[in-house]
Amino acid sequence: MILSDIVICGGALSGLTAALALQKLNMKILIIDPLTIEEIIKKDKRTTAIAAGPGKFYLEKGVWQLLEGKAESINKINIKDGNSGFQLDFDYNEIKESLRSKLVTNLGYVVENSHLLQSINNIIKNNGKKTPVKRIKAKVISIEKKEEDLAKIKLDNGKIVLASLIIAADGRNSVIRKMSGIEEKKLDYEQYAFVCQIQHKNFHQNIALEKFLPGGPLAILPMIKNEKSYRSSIIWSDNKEVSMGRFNSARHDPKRIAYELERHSFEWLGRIESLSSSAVYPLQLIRAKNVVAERFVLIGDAAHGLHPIAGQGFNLTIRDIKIFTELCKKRVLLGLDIGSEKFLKDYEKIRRADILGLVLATHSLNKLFSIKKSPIKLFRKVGMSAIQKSPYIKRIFMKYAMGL
Amino acid sequence: MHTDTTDKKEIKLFNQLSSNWWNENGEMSILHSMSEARMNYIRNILIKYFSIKSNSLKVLKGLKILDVGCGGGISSEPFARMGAKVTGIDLSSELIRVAKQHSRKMNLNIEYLHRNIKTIVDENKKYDVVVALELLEHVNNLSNFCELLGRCVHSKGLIILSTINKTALSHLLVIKLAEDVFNKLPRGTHNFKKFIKPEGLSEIFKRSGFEIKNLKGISWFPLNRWVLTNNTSVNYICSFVRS
Repeated sequence: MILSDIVICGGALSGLTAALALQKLNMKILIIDPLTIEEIIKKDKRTTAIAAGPGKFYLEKGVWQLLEGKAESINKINIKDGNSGFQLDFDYNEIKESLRSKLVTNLGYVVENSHLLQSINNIIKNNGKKTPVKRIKAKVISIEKKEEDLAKIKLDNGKIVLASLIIAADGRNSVIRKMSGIEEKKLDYEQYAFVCQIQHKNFHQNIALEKFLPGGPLAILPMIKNEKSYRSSIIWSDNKEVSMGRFNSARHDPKRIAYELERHSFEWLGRIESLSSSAVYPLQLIRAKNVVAERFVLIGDAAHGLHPIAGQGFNLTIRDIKIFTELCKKRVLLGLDIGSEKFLKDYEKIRRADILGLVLATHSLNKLFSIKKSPIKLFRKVGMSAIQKSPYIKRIFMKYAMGL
Repeated sequence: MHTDTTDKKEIKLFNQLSSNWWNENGEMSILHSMSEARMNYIRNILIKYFSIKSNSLKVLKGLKILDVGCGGGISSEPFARMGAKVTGIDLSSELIRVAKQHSRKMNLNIEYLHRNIKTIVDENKKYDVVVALELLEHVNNLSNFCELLGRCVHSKGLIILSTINKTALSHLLVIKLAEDVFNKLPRGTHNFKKFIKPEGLSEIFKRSGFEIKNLKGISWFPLNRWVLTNNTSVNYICSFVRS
């Protein structure tokens, strides 16, 4: 029997970040994951865009300092509507003066998950001299909750863990969410995202592109240069057939896809020399009907899986974690139980508007830009030009996107 | 003189409530939701009074606390989590059983005893802090009870009490509304005659050489939230030290 204050199910990006934040509460924390951290680091080929706000959180924790030379900053975001040529620019220099925090030096970062995971893990280990975070490689078989008791977790290695609080951070298709009996709402976008890395001739000038094409949005994010060449990360949404087609040609006929991408990026990236790490996955909107239950809290994609259109998913996760930690700290200082349902319901109330707001915003943004009717096209054009022309409105949008 | 401070009828009532003591949504929901405000007060007053470094997470480490009328342990457990060495006493054997069982489940080390305060005094046990939370309104012979509380505390120690004021408003809210209309509290839990004003309490403690150090109100705000205020007209919490 293992006794722990907090058990985090899922030891990837969200779970590790939660452990890092909660470490300061000086409680017993246990991470349970079927994979070791080394296995996760090896497997995860994705990149994550981290807006300036959440980036600040990592900076304060010391994670960012370890990523020196491994993360690329975004200084300018270029938003384009279809092929109309109409565009909107978000430039860090335009907002610099109005920022209160000196720590925010760009609009956001792009980092490979493997590096980020490695750094967070190193910081947790380093803090661990005072408050160790344990990790067990195991699968959760069942969770039992009896009224007023600690939660009881059975593992596939036969061990039993007792905990005051279980954090489910095991992603969109959270198994723990299902075990907790929390229902979810799902919406298939009938869109798939094709992702890959491109190596190109020119420096990307720290520009990120978000281009709303008739089939779906294309995002090109600047990555840090490796020994050989300049790199960018691609996230391209379209219907299933097209996305699968792109994925197949990335593997069998990379020149074709490179050529297709060059049409949108040649002016500043130049020739695309090669492609790597391609993948394709269905886009789904998932929102858990509740983010808490007795002795339970869902964090990250387990609570809300968004459309990647505005790159807001991870910002939301970091806000979950920051706010939850702050509320927990208040509780812990007063010696109160952090698994109390009433307390968790309070947290849920506080988070509801933010989560629901972003779910709806990203959802409608995708809708808005996939409509081909001309009145809507005109509306988009007017809207974008209004934002472009008003520095005030633009700053509001930028700050929101930056997670500040 | 009649010195027994226990009310047998009350004990019977609390025995009946014991099975649902830790259910935050049950009959004891108000006690649970008040916990945060009470603990806030107690933590701050103890930090100040004993000059404790407030950034520590186990702020009460090294303090011996006697929780008189501990019930199922709603306050004893937080004290223990904050690092204090806690003894909880209660006259309801059922509640002591519930308290023991719950603390074991929560993996907390608390001494729970089915004793009355008189026995503790007779055994000559002394504590740094003696608390009696939401209890005074349930005892008989209040002045005798308060004197006994005073005899359990170290010379440099502190007594912390929370109870219900004797005002028209408290009568309306606690008895008329909470018990009779909304059934927020089990009917018959409170007897208005037993409520006491802070001034009355000060007067009683003066006789055994204690003076009031600090007084705060605990008020209810919509959405089931209790906060510390300066309005003591219904619920209040206060500390006494030797003069």
